[in-house]
Amino acid sequence: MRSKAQIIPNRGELKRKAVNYKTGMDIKLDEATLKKMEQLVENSSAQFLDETVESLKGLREALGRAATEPAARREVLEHIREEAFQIKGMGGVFGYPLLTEFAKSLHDFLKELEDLDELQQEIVSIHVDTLYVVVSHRIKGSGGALEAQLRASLKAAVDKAKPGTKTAP
Amino acid sequence: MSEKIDFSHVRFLIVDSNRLMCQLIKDILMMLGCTQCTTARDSEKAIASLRAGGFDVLITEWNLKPRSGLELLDWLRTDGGSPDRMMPVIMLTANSEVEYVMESRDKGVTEFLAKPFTADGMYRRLVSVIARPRDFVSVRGYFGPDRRRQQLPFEGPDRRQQKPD
Repeated sequence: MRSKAQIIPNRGELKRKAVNYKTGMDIKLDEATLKKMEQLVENSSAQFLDETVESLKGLREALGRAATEPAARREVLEHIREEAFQIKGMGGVFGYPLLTEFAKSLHDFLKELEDLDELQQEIVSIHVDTLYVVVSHRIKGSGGALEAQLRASLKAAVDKAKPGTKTAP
Repeated sequence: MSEKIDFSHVRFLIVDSNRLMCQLIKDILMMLGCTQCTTARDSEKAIASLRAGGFDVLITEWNLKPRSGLELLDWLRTDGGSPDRMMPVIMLTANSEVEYVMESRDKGVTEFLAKPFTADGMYRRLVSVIARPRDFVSVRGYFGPDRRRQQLPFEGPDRRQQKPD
C-alpha cells in the first residue's frame, strides 16, 4: 500500500518578516543593484588570482612529493582533487571561465582515481601548467586562438591516459 | 507599488570551506542590506551554529567536511535535534552535474545554484526562498519542499490534501 503524503503548509514567517512594499530591494533585480553586485565580485578578482597562483604552486609541490614518495600519492591525490574543485567553482564567478573549464577537466580526470601513477602525474602536471597560463595571461574569454590551443593540448593529454590508448613507441 | 525584500530581517548562515567564497557571498548579502550573516567553514561548525539558533536561510556548499553539505541538509530536514526542519536551504556548489541536482532535490533542498554562479542567479534564488515559500511534503522517504514547481491543471481528487491518520 502506498504511504500517504502529508502536506505541511508553509508558515510564510520569513516572507511576512522580509517582504513588504516600502523598504528593501525590488524583487525584480534592477540594473544598478546588479552592477553593484558584479562590482563586488570584480573587487575580489585580484585576490582570487593571487590565491589561485598559491594553489597552483602548492599543486606543483604536491606533484613533486608524489614523484618521490609513492606512499604520499593518495594524500596528494586528495589534495589536488580538492584544489581542482575549488578552482572549478570559483573561476567563472570571477570572470575566468577557462579556469573553470580546465579545473573541471582535472577534477573529472581525478574523480575515479585511487592512485597517481607516472602518466597520471604527468597529466595533472599538464593541467597545472595550463591553468598557470590562463592565470598569468589573465585570460578572461574562452573563444580565442590561444584558448583553443590550450584546450586542444589538454584534451590530447587526457586522451593519452584513457584506457586502451596506446602510446607511440 | 512593487514588492520588496528587506534583507535586514533575514538571518543567513553560509557554509563553505573556501574562505574567499564565504566572504564573497557575505559581501553580496550585506550589500543587499543583510545585517546578520554568519559563516562556517565546515559542517560541524555549521551544525553547532544551527543548534544555537537564530537563522532563517542556510546557504551551503556540497563539498564539506566532515559531513558533506548533502548530509548537513539531511540532518536539518530529518534529525530530531534540527532547529527548523523547514528552513530554506540553497545548495551553492561546484558539484554542478545533474545527478547532484537530483540528489539534492531528493534530500529536500529548496534551491540549487551551481558554481560558477552569476549575481543575477544568486539574487533569483534568494527571492525564491524568501518571497515564494513552498509547502512541505512529508512522506515515507522524503521530507522537504514540494518538488512539483509547475502548476498544471488536474481533474480529479487532490490526494495531497489527505491528513495523516
